[in-house]
Amino acid sequence: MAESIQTKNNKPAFSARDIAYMAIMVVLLEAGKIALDWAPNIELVSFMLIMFTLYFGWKVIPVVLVFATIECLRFGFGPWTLTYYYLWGILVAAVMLTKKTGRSFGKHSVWFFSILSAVFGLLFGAFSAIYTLFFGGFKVMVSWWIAGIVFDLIHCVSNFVICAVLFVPVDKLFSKIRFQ
Amino acid sequence: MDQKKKKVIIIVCAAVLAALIAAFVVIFVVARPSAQAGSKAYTFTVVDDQSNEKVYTGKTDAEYLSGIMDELAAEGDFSYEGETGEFGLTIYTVNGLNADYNTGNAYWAVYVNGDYGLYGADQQPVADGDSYMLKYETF
Repeated sequence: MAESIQTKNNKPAFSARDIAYMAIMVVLLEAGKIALDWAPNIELVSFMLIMFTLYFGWKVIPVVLVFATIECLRFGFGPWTLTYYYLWGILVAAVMLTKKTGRSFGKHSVWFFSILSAVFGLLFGAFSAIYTLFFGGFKVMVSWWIAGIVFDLIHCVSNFVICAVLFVPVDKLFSKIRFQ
Repeated sequence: MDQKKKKVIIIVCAAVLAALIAAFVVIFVVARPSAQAGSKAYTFTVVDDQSNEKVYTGKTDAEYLSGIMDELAAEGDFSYEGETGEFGLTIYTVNGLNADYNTGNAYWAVYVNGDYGLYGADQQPVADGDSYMLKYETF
């Protein structure tokens, strides 16, 4: 007998609409990723995940896992692709934890989430370096991180600019889609 | 939330971001992987037709002996000419002294750690602490 994922009150954890949204989110993430694959550390994934999390909450976690798996299939199951399983989860968690503050401005604050995105871009290398701890130890992890700081700074600035530019129109669009 | 409080939150967040960026820049400037003279120490000796030795020592990241020779040539105190053919680089002239086995009875031999080299200069790997010699030899 087929079983669906259900919560304690016997309601499905994901509705059919949720699952359809999740599939669209994965497609958008992947398309955004591929579109800017040529540009080092300039990406749309952070921005999209922030928006998705603001409107879909923790339901974005399975989206992130599917996205990470697709990336692993594209590039192979190497150490850096495996980091995707936790890296993007950190961003989702950060948005969930600060959602209230970001919303306390009456509406989603473009500056608040642009800064959050920038901080995530800046710390991306540090988070990515965590896996090297298991292969080479603490010194390797720190040197790996330091060697990539220039790319983290690019990531920081590009994340900030992308979020600052796209946040308002996409926020309007999402509120229409989500609450219509 | 009043306007003033909103401003304060954004300013604090921006300040945290600015502080993080500044910290990252400082860490990078202080601890970045810097270009070094090279990681492999070498001794390179040229022995001419009068058995005079000219010794060069240094550190390099060159993969092959010809890389060291190119680095020394770029510094100006060493020169060589040769030809890359089927068997790799054949050296004809070192520091202006010609030893072309096609036209005479001399050639430039490559020695690695005192032993006759098994490879040409462009195929001889460079290892830390090795000594290399280009020696004018006759046959």
